[in-house]
Amino acid sequence: MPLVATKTRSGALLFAAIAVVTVVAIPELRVKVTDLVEGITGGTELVGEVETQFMVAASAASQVRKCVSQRNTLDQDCDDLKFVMIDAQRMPFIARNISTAWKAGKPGVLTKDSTRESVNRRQVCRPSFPRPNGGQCDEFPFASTRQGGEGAQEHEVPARENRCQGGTLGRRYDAAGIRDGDDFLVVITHPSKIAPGPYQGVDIAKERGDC
Amino acid sequence: MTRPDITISTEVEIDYGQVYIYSASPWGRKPPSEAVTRALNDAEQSERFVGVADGLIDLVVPFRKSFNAPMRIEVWQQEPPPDDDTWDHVVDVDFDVVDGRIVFEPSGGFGSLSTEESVPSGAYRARVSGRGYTEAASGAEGSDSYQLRLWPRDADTPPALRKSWSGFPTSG
Repeated sequence: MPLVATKTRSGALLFAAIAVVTVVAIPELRVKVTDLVEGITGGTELVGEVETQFMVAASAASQVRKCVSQRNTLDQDCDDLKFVMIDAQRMPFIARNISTAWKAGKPGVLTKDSTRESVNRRQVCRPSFPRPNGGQCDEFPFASTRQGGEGAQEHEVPARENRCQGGTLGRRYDAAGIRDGDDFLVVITHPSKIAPGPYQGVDIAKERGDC
Repeated sequence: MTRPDITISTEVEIDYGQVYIYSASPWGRKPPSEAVTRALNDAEQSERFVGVADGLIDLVVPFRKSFNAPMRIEVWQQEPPPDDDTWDHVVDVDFDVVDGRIVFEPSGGFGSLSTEESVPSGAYRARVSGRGYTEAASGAEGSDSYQLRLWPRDADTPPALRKSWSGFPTSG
C-alpha cells in the first residue's frame, strides 16, 4: 500500500508540474488562471458608469452595489455605509498600492482602531524602507485600522501623494463619523488614473491641482 | 529681554510627512472643516512647507514619520532674538491659542498629543523651526527636533519664510 500511495503522489506531482509549465508557457491561459486565483483570493471590481466609475475590492463589491444610487454614485445614507475615498487622479501611486493589495487578497473593508495604531505605525514603513526614487513609503491596509500593521503591503510613492493621503484620511474619518470600532469601505475614484506601474521618481499627478 | 516667560518641553509624533498644530480643533465641525487640506495646499504651493488655514498650522517635513521628536515651546513678551542659524527650516505664521492648550496631531487620523502645561490664550505670532531634516530624510531615527516660539501680535500678518531647508523640492 505505501508503494501505491507513493506512485499516486508522484503521478500527481508530475501532472501538477506539466500544468504549471503549460500555464506559464501560454499567455492567454496564464491570464485566465491569474484571474481565477484573484477571484478566489482577492481582486478588484469596477462599479458604475465610465464617468463616475469607482473601484472597490472584489470582496466588498456586493456591499457596494446595493448602495449605488441612480446617478451611479455611492449613497452615503445607505445601510449606514461609511467609506473613505482615495482619488486616483490626485494619488495615482497610492491608488495603485491599494488596488494591487486588494488583488493580493488584502481586505476592502477596514476597521478603525486607535488601540492598534501605535504598534501598527512602528511595524510598517519604517525609516529603513528602501526608497530608491526619493519618495516615501505607503502602506495598505492603513496603520490606523485593525487590519494594518505587520503584513501590510508597502510601496514607494511620491511624498506629495503621501501628504495628501494623510489629510484625506483624517478629514474623511471626521466627515463620515468613522470612530473606533467602525467598519468602513475603501473606494478608489477615477480608477482609470491609477498609475500603470511602480513609482520611478516622477510625480505624474503633481500638475493635476490641489490635494 | 533675552529669555522666554514660559518654556514647555514635549514630544511630538509625525506621520504622512506632517504634524498639525492647533488650539481650536478642526474636527467635529458642521460642516466638516477643510482646514487640513487647505493648510497643506498652502504649505506646498507657497513652498514654505509650513501652511496655515483656520488657525491650524501644517508643519510639513521631508520624511514619512517620526516618533518622540523633541518639541520646545517658548512664550515671549515680544519677538525673540533670531536663532535661525541653529535650525534647518524656519517660518513665521499667525497662531491663536484659544483655551490654553496647544495640540500636536500626526497626519493620517491618528491620536493627538496636547501640552499638559497651560499657554496663555491670545493672538500670537509663531516661529516654527525644525532641524535634523537631512539625517531624518536619509532614514536616521530620532534625529529631528522642533521649536515653536510665540509672542503677542497686534495685527494679522502673512506667513513669512525665514529660512528654507535646501532639500525641499521647489519649482524655481
